[in-house]
Amino acid sequence: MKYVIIGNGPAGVAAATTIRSLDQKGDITIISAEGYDFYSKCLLPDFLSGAISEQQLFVRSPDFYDKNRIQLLRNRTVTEVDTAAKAVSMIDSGNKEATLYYDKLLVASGGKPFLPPIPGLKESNMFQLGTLDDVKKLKAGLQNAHEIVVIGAGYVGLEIASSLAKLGKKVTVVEKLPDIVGGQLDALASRVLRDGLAEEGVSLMLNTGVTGVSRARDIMAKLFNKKRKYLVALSSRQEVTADAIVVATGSGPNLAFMWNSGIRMNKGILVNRHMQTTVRDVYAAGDVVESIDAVTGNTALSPIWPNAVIQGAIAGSNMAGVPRDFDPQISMQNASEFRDIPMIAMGLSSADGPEYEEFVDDRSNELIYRKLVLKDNKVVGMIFLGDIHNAGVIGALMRNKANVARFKENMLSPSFCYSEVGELIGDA
Amino acid sequence: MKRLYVIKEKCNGCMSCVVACQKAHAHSELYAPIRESEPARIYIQTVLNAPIPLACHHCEEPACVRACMSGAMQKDEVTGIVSNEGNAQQCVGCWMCVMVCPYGVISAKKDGDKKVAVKCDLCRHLGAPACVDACPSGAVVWMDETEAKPHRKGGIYI
Ligand SMILES: Cc1cc2nc3c(=O)[nH]c(=O)nc-3n(C[C@H](O)[C@H](O)[C@H](O)COP(=O)(O)OP(=O)(O)OC[C@H]3O[C@@H](n4cnc5c(N)ncnc54)[C@H](O)[C@@H]3O)c2cc1C
Repeated sequence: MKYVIIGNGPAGVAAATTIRSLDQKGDITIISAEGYDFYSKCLLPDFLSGAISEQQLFVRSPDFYDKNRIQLLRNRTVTEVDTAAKAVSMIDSGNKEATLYYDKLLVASGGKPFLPPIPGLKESNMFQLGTLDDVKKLKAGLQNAHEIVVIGAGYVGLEIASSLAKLGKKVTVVEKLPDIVGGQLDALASRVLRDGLAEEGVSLMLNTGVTGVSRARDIMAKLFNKKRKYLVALSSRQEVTADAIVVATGSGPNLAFMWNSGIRMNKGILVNRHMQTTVRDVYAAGDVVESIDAVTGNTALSPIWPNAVIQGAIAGSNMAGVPRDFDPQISMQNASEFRDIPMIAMGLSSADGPEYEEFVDDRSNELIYRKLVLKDNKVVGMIFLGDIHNAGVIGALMRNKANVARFKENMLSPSFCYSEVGELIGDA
Repeated sequence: MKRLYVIKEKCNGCMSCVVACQKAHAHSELYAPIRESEPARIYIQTVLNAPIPLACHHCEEPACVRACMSGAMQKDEVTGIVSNEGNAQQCVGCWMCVMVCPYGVISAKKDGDKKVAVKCDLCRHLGAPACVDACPSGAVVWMDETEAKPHRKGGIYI
């Protein structure tokens, strides 16, 4: 059996590991557009700030591929998938073409940052952060940059801004929406996070979009042959000067090479509960797929690490001939820490109508704030800030759509624990 | 394979397991139990006015391992122990494991100027969990999986 996996991220690697545990003999090949072993994108902001070394980005030990007899083809970019011929075309860094044939294929090519069509942006000293090479480029580019504008106040934009501030840069984050992290937090949690960022020295400009980027007219720079700054024009008619601009306006599935494959796609690749696409022997997992959200019941992208691993493992099992269903996960969940304040948020951040209930433990003067959002006696959202203990217990109740009527008043008390509700959570 | 189990009815809430756990994991033996910096990895909870010990289940398919974005959290293939310590990859305190653990048995501790996740490692440096030896009432037990199986009531409870 020949297994081919496009993508060396968490979804691809989880699939490869699962396949190997179920099929000792098959050939497993992972194709990666990048030149590295499996590394953690989530840790790139920490690598940028210098909090961790490049070595610490690698999620597996160096002997991982050999030990599991996985062939990793580095620096190969897949250009086309021909599902009739069961062939994958790719080019290497020297533009040399090659074709690989598969019996089972997994598409796990992950996400790619958007580049918003802002006039002058592409031509400016602009950086995006999708890969380790991107961050290395930014690190090099920062040497002569002091003033930095980050476009986008999602989790990634804020983490990058925080890392840049730690490096002593003057950082301004510009966000089109009225709030940070796309409204995934409520007003209070958002304020705590914004205050933390302000303390780190990050300036936030909300409710204002970037309309254009141009070169600053700087007589002194011209005279002394210094590098000229950029002017970032905002819809609020203000202007911010910048030596460098970091674009963090979100990302989308990386599937340009899939358009001729005949596989059905919406925003992402459509899959069934086996993570199988609409074409036989082709599976997909991770940031590229749309899957069912445990809270809303709707099909959506869920571009987060833990879901990529779960989907990869399920795909791998089915590819190796051991049928396994994917259980819907929570698409919106995030753990973060700014200014020593840990925070975990899942699902809805606030009641969305009279049929919702909220339970709140507000000790915001001690920087602790916890909140649950319920609908029909089921948890549909939570924010734990400052005290994140038991967040996973709530998450499990949420995923299982457990009826919490019996103990809902008690869920934020210090005595609430798994042992009280074990039968609703089950074994792992 | 031997695992940690709890016989709920036998616990009298004496906290000996908690103290033994802190002591087993503190760098300095002597004052460990009163040093706050070493959190216990086993918890005594109160459910319906009765004390119940709670610790990591060392799951077959641990959600914490799947969610770990640094690779530090691993399940040992031989012993079955799930731990983020003693591996080549280091914990960076991202709290993904806390977010996904359905048992709520992972907490945070300060480790120098860093924060890291802490959880039960079945005292692998000692060979057997310290809480079991310390329990005077036989509520926390260390027994073979096959032996425990017929009595299981879910999770680590028998
Ligand atoms: C800066 C940053 C911070 C993040 N922080 C968090 C966080 O805190 N928590 C969280 O849950 N998630 C976070 N994420 C998201 C998380 O990293 C992704 O959800 C996860 O990596 C998706 O895994 P994946 O396997 O689907 O794809 P990816 O990790 O994107 O991997 C895709 C792989 O496919 C390869 N590839 C792509 N196109 C091709 C091609 N044409 N040919 C060959 N190979 C190709 C790539 O080289 C790569 O190896 C963050 C992402 C970024 C960028």
